[in-house]
Amino acid sequence: MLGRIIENWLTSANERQYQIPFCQLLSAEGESVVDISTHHPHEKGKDIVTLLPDRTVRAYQLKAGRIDLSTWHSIEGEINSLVELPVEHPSIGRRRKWHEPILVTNGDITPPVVDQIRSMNDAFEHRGFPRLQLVVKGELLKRFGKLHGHYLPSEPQDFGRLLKLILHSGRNPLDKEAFSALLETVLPLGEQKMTDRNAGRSLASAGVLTSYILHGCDAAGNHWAVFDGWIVMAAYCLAVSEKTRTPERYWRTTFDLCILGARRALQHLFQECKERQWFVEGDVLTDGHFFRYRITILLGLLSAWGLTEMRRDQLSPDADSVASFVRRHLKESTPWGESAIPFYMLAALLLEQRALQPMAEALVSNLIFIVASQNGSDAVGRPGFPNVYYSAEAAVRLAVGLEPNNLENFVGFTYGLSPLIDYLARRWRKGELSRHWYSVTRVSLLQFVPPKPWEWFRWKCENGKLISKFANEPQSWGKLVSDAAETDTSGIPEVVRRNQEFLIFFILVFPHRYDRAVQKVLEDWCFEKK
Amino acid sequence: MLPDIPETKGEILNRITTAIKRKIDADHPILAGIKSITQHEGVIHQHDQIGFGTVSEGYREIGAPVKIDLDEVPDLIREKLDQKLTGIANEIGKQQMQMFFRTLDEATEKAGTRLDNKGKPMTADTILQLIEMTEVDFDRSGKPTSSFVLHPDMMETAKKIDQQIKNDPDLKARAEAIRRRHYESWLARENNRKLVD
Repeated sequence: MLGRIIENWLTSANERQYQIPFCQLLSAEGESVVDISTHHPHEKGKDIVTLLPDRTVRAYQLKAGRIDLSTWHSIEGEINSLVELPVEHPSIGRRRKWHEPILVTNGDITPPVVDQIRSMNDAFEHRGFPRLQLVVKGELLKRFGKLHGHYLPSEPQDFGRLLKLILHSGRNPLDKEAFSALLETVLPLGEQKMTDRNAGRSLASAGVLTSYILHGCDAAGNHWAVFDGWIVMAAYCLAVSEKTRTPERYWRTTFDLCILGARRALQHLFQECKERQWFVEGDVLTDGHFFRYRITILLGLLSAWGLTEMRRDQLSPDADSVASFVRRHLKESTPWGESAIPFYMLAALLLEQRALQPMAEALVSNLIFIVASQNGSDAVGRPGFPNVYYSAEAAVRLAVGLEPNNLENFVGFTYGLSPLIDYLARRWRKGELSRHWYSVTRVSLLQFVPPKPWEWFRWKCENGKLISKFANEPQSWGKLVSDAAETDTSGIPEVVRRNQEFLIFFILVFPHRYDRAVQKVLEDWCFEKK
Repeated sequence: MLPDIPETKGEILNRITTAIKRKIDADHPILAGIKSITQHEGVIHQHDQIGFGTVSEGYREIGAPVKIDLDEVPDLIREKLDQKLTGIANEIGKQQMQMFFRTLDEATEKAGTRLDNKGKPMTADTILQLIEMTEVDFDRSGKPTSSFVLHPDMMETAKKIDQQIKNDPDLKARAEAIRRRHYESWLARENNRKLVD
């Protein structure tokens, strides 16, 4: 069954779509991935560059489908570059031994092309270059199959979940709960003991499973679901690293590849938004139920892209484009519930970084108003503002009565208010907060504390503590400001502090982990000097 | 196995659970009026209790045993199922009310706001003492939002006492003084909901 899944996936993937899982495979086989190209013209025919334990350098060119003579003629130039141009990368430097050039395709190579390659190889050898090696579909299937080894769902129910996720993959949002549950069955998060190397292999296998699951979304251009999927996988990668104390070298590549997958999805979404004039999607008759929430999601995802791009280049034109998108579309957006808060907060942070401070503060102040008024104790008799555990889709289902058996009422409690208060307090917006304080005191402020650091990365913790408290009456302004300035961030696992870009992505995918500490770390990261 | 439709039966069970919850709320407005929270993760809830600092507690499980004879099953639909559900709702509602009073008992004992009349008949004085001891909130129009929970057997006595307080000038003045004090302290509390320097 797995063989069919791998074959279906592999044969329908284009070269970009199987690049990340192929890197995962190489890493699991012991090669260190040092460079992955973004398919720029200056890639010199090398899509992937790796380093073997004996310091041999390998350069891979990836192609999709059958390579016949006409395809061969169109790629011959790239193959020459792959073989004859040196690998230039800071972590490799100049070496006496030439790199090993390898052409990979997920299809096959026709016999006339094999003949041509044989002749070319003789010529390469004659000129002192190494021979071009080939990897084709059959070998890839075997190698991917071997990679999974024992790290697959073993129970029929879990295997059924994998199939369901693969079949469901397409235009729908990712079922993050089901995907997380699947990852928990294939990763060493239980009591089982595993060597560091095997923990790394189980992560690599799960990373490739993620590619299979997200393939349908990728093919449909569902960048949001692809982004979510890679971030869920990255979170579980950190969960394993925290739980098993596996050294970084065994999980780092998988984690980096997940982040690369997520970044590519954001980049594609950004491009699509730049090219679009209208943001309607799917069935137009019913799109009104989701349109404004879609804009909110776009504000958050694009802001995440803008903020991370700014980190690479303070004058990033992408960040400017995103800021302009946020300015243009903010009014068309609506929060569906408290899980929308992180999306808005990233937009606020980006606006701030682009000198649009008043707009950012007004946005946060408006969010405080919405949460406090909809969930304050005065709102008795109303359903309230859905809490952080409700996605945009879940909120739509509740609002239109598709969940008649769900009687959850949200009035009286909030998870997302405290970080918003901190945000304005850190900016000395006493007037704004004074205006809201009466409503703020009428709602209980909640925070969930996972029992162990590694469980912070889980979709759902079985144990842990829910803390609820009310805001002070009266509240000293000075104390509020000092508390906001000294927010305790020790609850955030250390590994996140070392990978703060991940945090920006993580809170959009796990909004129920967004709290005062996360907001503080994000702000510190944004204002930190590079 | 024999032919079955487990998924659809699961959906029916969800609907039944909702119906039970709705019936309990309808039968016990006190329970329906209590602010409730659905905890999505973890099993411990930590909160502040006035006068006692931080309280950390888990949840208590309640349930009703359901006895279904196999020969009942073929006809356990519509009215017969409704009857069964009514029985379950009554039992769970009763347990929830018992838990409510037990918790109230513990809390009032700890807070010192319990008044034990030691089996003596309820009087206007006891009622006024009770009102005096409680914290009362008011709505925007100045009407108290608190309510009293009485055993049905005490309703008649309570009504008589209410009339007595309204008709006796001394009792009326005392009740009005209590109301004014409560109102002032509520205003003070409301006035505290602000930022200060």
